[in-house]
Formats: sequence, structure tokens, C-alpha cells
Amino acid sequence: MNNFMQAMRPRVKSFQESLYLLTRNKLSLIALIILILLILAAILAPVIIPYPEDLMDAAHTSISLQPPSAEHLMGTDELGRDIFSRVVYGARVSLTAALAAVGLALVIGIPLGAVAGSFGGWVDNVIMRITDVFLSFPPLLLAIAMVAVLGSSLNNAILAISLSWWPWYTRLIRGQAISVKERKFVQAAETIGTGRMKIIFKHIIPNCISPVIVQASMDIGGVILTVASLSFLGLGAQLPTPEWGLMISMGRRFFPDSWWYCIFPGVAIFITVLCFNLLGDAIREILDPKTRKN
Amino acid sequence: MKRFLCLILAGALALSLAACGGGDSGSAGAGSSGGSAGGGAPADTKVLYHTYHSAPYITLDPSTEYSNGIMVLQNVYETLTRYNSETGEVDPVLATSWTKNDDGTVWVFQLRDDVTFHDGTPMTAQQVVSSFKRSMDLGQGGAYIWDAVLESNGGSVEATGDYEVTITCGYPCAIDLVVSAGYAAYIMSDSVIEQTTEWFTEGHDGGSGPYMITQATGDSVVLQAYEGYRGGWQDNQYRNVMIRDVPESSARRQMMETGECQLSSEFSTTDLAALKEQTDKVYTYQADTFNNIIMFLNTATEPCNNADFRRALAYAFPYEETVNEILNGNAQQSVGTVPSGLWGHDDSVFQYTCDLDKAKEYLDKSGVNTDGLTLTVTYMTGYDEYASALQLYQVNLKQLGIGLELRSMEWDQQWAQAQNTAPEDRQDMFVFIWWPDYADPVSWFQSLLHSEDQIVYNLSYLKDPELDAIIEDAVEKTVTDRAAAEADYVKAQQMVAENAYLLNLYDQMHTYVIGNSIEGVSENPSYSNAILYYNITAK
Repeated sequence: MNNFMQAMRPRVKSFQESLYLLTRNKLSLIALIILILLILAAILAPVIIPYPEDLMDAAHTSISLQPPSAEHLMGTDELGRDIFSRVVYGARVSLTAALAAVGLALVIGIPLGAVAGSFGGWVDNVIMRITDVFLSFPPLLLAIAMVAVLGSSLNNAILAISLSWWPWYTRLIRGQAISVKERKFVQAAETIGTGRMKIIFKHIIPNCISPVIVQASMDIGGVILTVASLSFLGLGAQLPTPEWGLMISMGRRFFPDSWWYCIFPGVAIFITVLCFNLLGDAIREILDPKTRKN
Repeated sequence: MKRFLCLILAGALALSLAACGGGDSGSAGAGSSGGSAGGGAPADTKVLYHTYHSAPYITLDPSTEYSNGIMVLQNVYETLTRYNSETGEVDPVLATSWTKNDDGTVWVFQLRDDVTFHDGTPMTAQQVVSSFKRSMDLGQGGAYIWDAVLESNGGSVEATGDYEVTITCGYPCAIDLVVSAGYAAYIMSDSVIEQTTEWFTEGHDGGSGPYMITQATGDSVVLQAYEGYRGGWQDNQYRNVMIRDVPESSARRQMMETGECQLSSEFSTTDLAALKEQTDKVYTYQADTFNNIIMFLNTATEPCNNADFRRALAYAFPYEETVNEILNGNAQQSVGTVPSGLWGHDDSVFQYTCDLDKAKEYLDKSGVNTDGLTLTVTYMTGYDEYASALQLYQVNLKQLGIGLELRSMEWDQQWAQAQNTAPEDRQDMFVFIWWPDYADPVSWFQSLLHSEDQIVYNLSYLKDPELDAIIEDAVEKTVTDRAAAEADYVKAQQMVAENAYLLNLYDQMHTYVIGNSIEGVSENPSYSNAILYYNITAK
């Protein structure tokens, strides 16, 4: 029976094949390399930054707002802290926050969508009406409202973003689940008496996951932007956390004369978001042959 | 043919819009004043453009507004008297003279007989009485200044002649100062007495000042000359004023550089330094203020209920570094609670300096266990100077083994947390700016340090009967024996400093950047943020 089930499943691309397709496009290859470097920088940040003490517990007001130089590659902020060190460490803060927010949204959204699509009827109705309520608010506005209630902190910002993001995944996976549940391997599983929840988690979700992975990879860029926006507004990370949006917020009052304070965290956000978007596009092309250009 | 018709329609639409625009330009605009007697289109179309770093008002109700709205209200409404910060005396405005009895409980004010409101009606004693009663009845904002006059406290306010008002106090009170207040003491026309706060905030007014409100959009206010103003108008004065919220310092700087606006303040240190160099375009004016930045320590809960621990916190704050490095010298370290320039201030009052050795000494003496101890400090979002200073403080406290969590919050949120009924859910420290309602130290002591049954601004949650008694004695003696009142306030400041009930961080200075095309800008520290546009002239 296992062989039969295996044969009925759709073909899933091998890792090597996916990697080949990913690296075939130069832009996505560059994006992938930059993201790998960023992730490495985020992991190794405490070791590779020149002034680790400048992350949290130091101030040197005698060298405040120094322009970029050999000693301080991206200059210093108003408290004389090394901006390069803080921007590199900021990669860890932003990536962790984005992955946590998207991860939590997936954990909430995927099971709900799969259950809604598989069960149908009133279960589907209740879940989808709840998602409609959440979807009727712009995600950033909803996140701002939630943080206002929960209190300003990075953890609350992550939670608020997850709570405003999960309905998109629920809706996406529900559509897939409705289609997949009619497939023969699901019907075969039902025929042999497999439990409904087991079918959902072992057969339906794994076969609905591709578009969600594409969406999630593209969303990471958006979530990084949202985290930065909330921190910029004073609703996310709190000082002295070296979060990119917060750095821009603190640096904007010095912008005309000390441009480096805002520009470098801004460039970091720009590059990261762009790379995640390019990578998302590439993953979509791999998983969906219809959109493949060549 | 269709295209031709479209063109005709578009043309007609454009013409009708232009006609509407032309009609509006001469009218009072979106809002209108209480009447039209002094209205009409001024011939002069010069506009004085004042950009401000925050919303120029919360409400425009002269009885209840208790915030930035003072910058509008001071130009639209008048008070009976006005505090002169240079002489330390109270000058007459709508009153011509006043007398009081020996114990300062009965005050008789003689009023001007040539004052008209914007609706054209003349000011009489009855309207002064109605205005004061409106503030007392609504009981919001700065209405507490009328406490001695409340009927429940044995006071009254009566018109005892067409141009004579008698104010009786339940206890001795410096009413000449009270009626000079920048909040809750404005005189308005009877025609607007019954109006709601919303009506005023829509852009209506009923004042007698040189300007009328013609438009109020939340982030901007347009003022227009009241042609019937008793002082008259000169050609070089500005009959039109626009006050607009432009939050970004760099944006305000650009507007000053391009000449788009003529007056602004609250620049970042780097923007201010750059503007100071552009002497061909602008000049600066530094005004002393009675604004001071205060850090309340939560004396109701551990560990800040320990006096030695509070002293340790006081010695750890980087006062000098904040003033010199963060604020670039645009402030001065506070000495005592009462700011320099106001009666009751005394340079000999004890003040802390940043001394980490002493902080360590007091910390050890306090016996507070700092293992895993993290204090929370709340401050208002957008006040980046506080954020920078608090990060320096965080570094110093870290050296003492104390963590400090910074929480930037919107004012409503910050205040709501501070008023939480569960003391343990409140912050450990609370930073904010305070300025007086009128030129009297009571504004600090009664509001911030006197025991409160319901927490309003006593955000140190202080209940010190000895301090309460000194404050009450000072209030009573302010009118009968000013020297004794001053001595009381000095004693109270010494107590506050020694016990570190709150930390007076620094006294703010307002540095205005002014376009070279205008002159006459000045700020009276008793009316913080208010510039009298009537005094500004084109060069």
C-alpha cells in the first residue's frame, strides 16, 4: 500500500534540481549569495564586528557623529557608537524578528487553512469569516493597533505582525486544500480508513505547501520592512537595540549633516528586502513551472 | 466632438473652482469667529509662517486646553493681567488696576472700557465673570488654579459694576497671578460661553486678542487679524499667520533655508549649528524658559521606595554630559525644582552631579540587591533627546549592576500606565517636561509633589505630610508674605533634592531661528511656546 501511496503522490523536485534552477538566474544567484552572507554576518556578528561593546552598553560622546573613516567604516552615531557594528548586528535582529514573525504566522495560518479547506461546511465558514475580519485591516495598521494594546517591544511587534499576517497563509492554503482533497491519493487514504487529521497533516498540508513557501519567502522582506516601520515609530525594538528601523528613526534628526547615520541602516534594509523578493521570485519559478521564463 | 465637449466641461469646472477659491480667499475660511464685526478680508496678504515640531493644539477651548494650544490662545484671547518676566511683576492687560484686602482674600479688578470681542460686542464685567465660571464649571485642564475661588471652598466671582469684578477667595490666594495664567483664565464673549470644546476646536473663537482663528485642521492653524483690535494695525505687522506642525527638524531647517517659513524652533543640535552659520538668511534668539525636564521616581514600590537607592540613581544620571553633549549647551542643569528666573528659585539648593563613586556608596548603603535588577523608564515617543540621555544613563547604571529598560510611549499610554491602579504595574521612572500654568512655584509643588488621592501628575506617588504642610503654608503666604513663601519653597526644594523624590534633570532653553525679514520675536517664559505675533514686524 505504501508503494501505491508513493506512486499516487505528485512529483517533488530534488534539492539538486531546485538549486540548479535557482542558480541559473543570475539575479537570484546574487540575491542568494548576499542573503547567505547576511545570514553568516547575523550568526557571526558578535565575533566579526569591530566594536562589540557599542551594541548595548557603551557611549563615547567625544566622538559623536563622526563621518565614515578607516576606524569607523560607517561613521558613529550621536553617542559615538560604531554604526558598522550596529548595522551588522542589526542583521541578526531583523532576520530573527522576520523569521520568527513569519514562522509564527505559518504555524497559525497553515493548520487553520488546511482544516478549513478539508472540512468545508460551517468549519470553513467560521475560519474564513475570521480571516476576512483580519484581512479587512491593512497589516501595518493592525500591527500598530495591536502593539499599542500590548505595549512597545520587539517581541510584541513580532507577535502583532504574526497575528496580522496569518490570514494570508490561511486563505492561500485553504484554496490548495480544496483542490488537493479531491486528488486520488487523498481519496485512497480515506478509503483505507486513515483519520481525518492525519490526512490533513500527512497528505494535504505537504502537498499544499509550495505556494505558501513562495509566499512566505517573499513576505520575509515585507516583514523586515514592517518590523523596521514599527521600530521607526517607536513601537518595536527599544533603545539601545541596534535595529535598523530604530537606527533610522534616531538618525533622522541629524540627516542633512550626518547622512551616514540613516543611510547605512537604510541601505541594509533595502538590500535585504530586495534580495528576499528576488529569491521569492526565483522560488516561485522553481515551484511553479507555468511561470518559468525559459 | 466628444473631446470638444470634455474641454468645455473641464474649462467650466476650472472656472467655477477658481470662482469658489476667489470667494473664499476673502472670507473667514473653514471656521469662523464668533461674529463678523471685525472680520472681512484684510488688504494685506503677507503671511507669517511659523513651523512647530508638534501639533499646535490639542483643543482650542480657552477654558480647557492644557497643552500646545497656548501658542494659539495667547494670540486670540486675553487675560486680565500678564506676568512680566523681566520685572517679576504682574502687568495689566484687560484690567487697568486692582486692589486686595490685607489677607489677600478679596480682590477687586477695574476693567478697560475699550475692549471689543471678535463678534463686535464690548467687554463688560459680566463677560469676565462668565468666562471664569466656565473654566471653573468645566473643571478641566488648568481649572485647578481657581480652587480658592470655588463656591465649595467659600469663594465667589461677581460683577460689582459694569467694569469692576470682585473675586473672593476661600483662603488667601495670589489672584493677580492666577488671572495672568496661560490656561483657564482667558476672557471670552458671552456669545460663545455655551459652546462646546468641539465647536472651538473646529476653528471658532470668541476672544478679544489681535487675531481670530480662521482655520484649524489639527496640524495647522490659520490666524487672521482682528481689524477692530484696540491697538490698531501698522503696515509692517503680519495680518495673516499660519502655524503648522512640521515634525522633522531637517524639513523645518530646509523651510528656513529656502525662506518658506520665517519662524521655527526645536531643531536638532546639528541642524541648529548649521542654521546659525547662515547669517545671510536667519538669526537666532535664545529664550530662557520655565520648562524643566523631570524624572519621577516611583516612591510607592520597591526598589525606588528606598531613599538611599533613589540617591544612588540621582548620582548616576549624566547631567553635564546631557547638557553639553546631547543638547549642545541649549539647556542648563537644573538647580532645584523651581527654574532659574522664577521667584522661589535659589541657586544654593542642593543638586546632584554625576558621580558614580557616590552612587555606588549609596547603593551599598541602600542594601538593595541588584542581581537581575532591571528598572523601567518611560518617555514620550518622538523626544529623541530624552532617548539619547537615557542611553547614557543606561550605560552608567550598568556600571552599578542595574539594568535600565527604555520604553518610548505615546503620551496617553505613558500616562495611563503611570496611573495604573496596581502600583507594581507602573513604571519605575517617568520622564516628562513641565512648565507652569502661571508664574508661581505652586504649579510644581501642588501638581507634582503634593499628596493626591487620585493620581494625576504626582507621578512619584509621593505622600509626605511634612512636605504637604510646607506647600500649603507657601500657598497661603504667597499673597500675604512673599518672602516667607519663598523660604518655604526653598525648604521644600531642599527636601525634594535630599530625598531624591524626583530628579530635576535640566532646564530647557528655546532657541528660535528667525528669518532675516522679520523682527520682534520674544517669548515670555511664563507662557511657554507662545509667541505674540502682534509684536512681530517685517523689517
